[in-house]
Amino acid sequence: MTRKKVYLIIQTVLCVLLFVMLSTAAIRIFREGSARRAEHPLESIYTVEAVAEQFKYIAPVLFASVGMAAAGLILGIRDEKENKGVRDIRSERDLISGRVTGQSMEVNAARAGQRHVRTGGWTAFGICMVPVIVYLLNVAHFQDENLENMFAALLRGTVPWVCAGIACLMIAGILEEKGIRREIEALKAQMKSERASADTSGDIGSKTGGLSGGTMTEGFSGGTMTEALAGSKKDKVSAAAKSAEDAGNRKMVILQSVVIAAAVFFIAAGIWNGSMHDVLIKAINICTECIGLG
Amino acid sequence: MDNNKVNSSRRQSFRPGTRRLVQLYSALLYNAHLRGFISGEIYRGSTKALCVPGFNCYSCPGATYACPLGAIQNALASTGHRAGWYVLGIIMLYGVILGRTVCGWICPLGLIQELLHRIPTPKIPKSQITRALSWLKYVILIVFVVAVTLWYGIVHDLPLPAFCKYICPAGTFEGAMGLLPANPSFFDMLGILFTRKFVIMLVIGMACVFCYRSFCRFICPLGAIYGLFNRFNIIGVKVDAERCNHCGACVSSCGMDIRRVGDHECINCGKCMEVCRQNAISIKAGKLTLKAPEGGSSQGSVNSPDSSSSGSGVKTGRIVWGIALAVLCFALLWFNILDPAVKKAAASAPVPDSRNVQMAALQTEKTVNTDIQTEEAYIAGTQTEEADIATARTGTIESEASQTESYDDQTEAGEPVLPEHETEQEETELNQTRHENGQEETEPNDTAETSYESSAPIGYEVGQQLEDFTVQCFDGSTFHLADTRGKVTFINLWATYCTPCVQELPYFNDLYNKYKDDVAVLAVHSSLAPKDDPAEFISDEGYDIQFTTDSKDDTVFKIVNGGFTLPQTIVLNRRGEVIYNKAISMTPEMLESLYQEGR
Repeated sequence: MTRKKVYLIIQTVLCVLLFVMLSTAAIRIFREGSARRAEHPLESIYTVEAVAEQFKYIAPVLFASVGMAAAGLILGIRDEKENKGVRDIRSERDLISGRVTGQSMEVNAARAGQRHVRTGGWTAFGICMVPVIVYLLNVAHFQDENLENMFAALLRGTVPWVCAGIACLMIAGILEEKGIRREIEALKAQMKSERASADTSGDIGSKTGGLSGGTMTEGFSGGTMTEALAGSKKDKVSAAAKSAEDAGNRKMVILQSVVIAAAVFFIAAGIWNGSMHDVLIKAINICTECIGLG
Repeated sequence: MDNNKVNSSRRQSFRPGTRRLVQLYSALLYNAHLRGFISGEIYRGSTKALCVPGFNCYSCPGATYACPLGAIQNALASTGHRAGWYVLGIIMLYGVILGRTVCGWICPLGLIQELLHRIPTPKIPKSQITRALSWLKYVILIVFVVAVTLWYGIVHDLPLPAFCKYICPAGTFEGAMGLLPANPSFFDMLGILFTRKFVIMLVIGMACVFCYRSFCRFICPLGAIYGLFNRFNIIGVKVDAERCNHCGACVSSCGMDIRRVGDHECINCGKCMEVCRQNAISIKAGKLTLKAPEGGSSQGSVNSPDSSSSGSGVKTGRIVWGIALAVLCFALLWFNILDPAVKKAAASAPVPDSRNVQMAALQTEKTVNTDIQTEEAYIAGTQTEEADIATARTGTIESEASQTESYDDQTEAGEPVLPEHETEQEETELNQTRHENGQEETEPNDTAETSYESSAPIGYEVGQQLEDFTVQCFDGSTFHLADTRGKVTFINLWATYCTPCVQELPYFNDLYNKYKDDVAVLAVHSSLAPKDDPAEFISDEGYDIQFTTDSKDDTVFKIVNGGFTLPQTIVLNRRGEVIYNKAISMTPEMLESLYQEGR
């Protein structure tokens, strides 16, 4: 085990420990304070003394963690995986598929499989979201003026479905990735076979050329002709692509202009109807519940 | 030689890039009210009507502008009253101009996340799991930002910023952590909400250490909104299709869960420019190239700078940075020293305990001696005015406004605005304060009800008695503080835009109905009333307690030391002495307990 690894393990342990200690301290203060408040309703739950008492235990871990982090940064210690990046399997697939001309049966099958998995994943996600949407659309769930009850019910009513939906997407993603790997294998096999066939035809061509003899000039001029034809074709294609891009850019500019104009109109309407004043009033007062004070 | 290499590479790693400098710059510009971190007060100037593009809590003591997400929730909550066109327009404007470039370049929370991620620990790479989790932020946007806020706004008229209240780590980190050290009295408010949000903040912080921009990728609803605009934003990372060979190096090197550069997950940070061997990626604003790939000129790029244009580019860059620094310096000066709102806040800062009591006494004495005639004239005027106002239910605001106008002469001289006083009683109080200060021996007041008479000094601290005041209530009645002697008096400072305030009003009403003859309750709305009248706001609720809106110069708020933190409750015992004065959300148990204490 290298020194770098040891450092990273120690730093991880310290970070996790700090997190656990801080969370535990907050919960402990809250519990003790709540018990006090149950007896005397005017007692404060959090007190400076209670926080200071807890901080005594946390401080050594906090300082050790900060010190270690500073040392690590100065020494330039980093997780090696961090700089490597994550190989994107889709890009790899796109790169290979650009090199093959047609699509074999296997490739098509793999692609269809991916499509099904993707559709299935999103359908499952959508199905999981239905109860969430139904919950959110039902006004009865938002009648309780006790916000703690509402929040607890909201979590109970939505979180399992959201988790299930996200899990469906995860599973679909993993399965899709497997499908892409299969597709890459198929593409590689196809590429190999295409190369082999190209090699064979090349051999035959060279053999024919050798036999005809004296056709060098013809062959050369013929080659120039083909190149010229290909060149003009390419130009046509790139010109078409460019004009399509220009059209796309024009559309984009129109869309951007429309959105900006709408935004400016809405801002003016907001200043007129007083919603800007609402923002000001909310912003110049401390929103105690927004910042978690209570 | 090797050592030199190592040192230079370390130096290189510590040298902040352009993006980091822009992030630091924007964080400082958003939070230019630095004195707020020391004084523990938030900035209250008019620039707070503007939303910044990035995530920055407006309750942070340094914040000089509004948080767009808080503003969105506020606008949704008040949909029943008026449409939040302004916020919609602002978000659309930022979205179409910047999109998620905001996240990568000018979001303070993004900066914090990236700094946390620099802590050397093993890192969790992106995968199909993180990719799936990136959709979570859209669910959070729909559930917490839109649905809950909208329903509570429409059904209950309750401004409930659900995301801020239950999740937002920026509020806890910037707001609560920024305000608590300078305001130890805020500890009284902390409870289950703080505990929960503190733990959530820790979890998110922890996740950011191990997983790149966890909050941004999985939770941030603002990023989700900007992501919708990312396809057609003006400023962002653009790929030259002719140069791109689809090698995928850009996607591989990216820390975000992107499928391709510029999609809804792309934060346009431009990191991919460093790894693109084709120099196909650049940061553009429309057709203008803001950042060309390094070595792009060697490839003969149209947009990449050649030697002469790179020289002018450097020059332009220096000019831009110069202007930016000048703007920052001006902002720091303005928001800390020059701004009238800051001066006003500094001038109206509460004076500590005993000194304040003496000042109150001296001010009372001065006012009574010098302006007694003016006041008599005022009282006569007010009485006539009150008769007119009594017919109109919502006439309070006008009345208070005219009171303010009547007192303009006094306030101009820097004296406190005094509410209506009965001269006799005022003199009694003055004598009492003089007695306290050892200035003059006085006779006991014969006319006052002796059983509930108090000799406590004037002030707002526990043990002191409040300065007398009279206000006109929404129902046409008059609340005169001196008349509540013999009853336990509850003064509640509230506002329609404050959720805990609105939530606790029924508790006060219940208490009042329980001990009707023994309790007086006055709910004073902040003078900062939105355009919808607070009277209209409570009209359907059927409350029996008295409601009023404070005058524009915050007469009642000044008397009870009401601040910018609501709700605040002041409880007076039968003798009119303050037994409780705290900014805290009340529960029925607490109110009952306070009533028993005040009896």
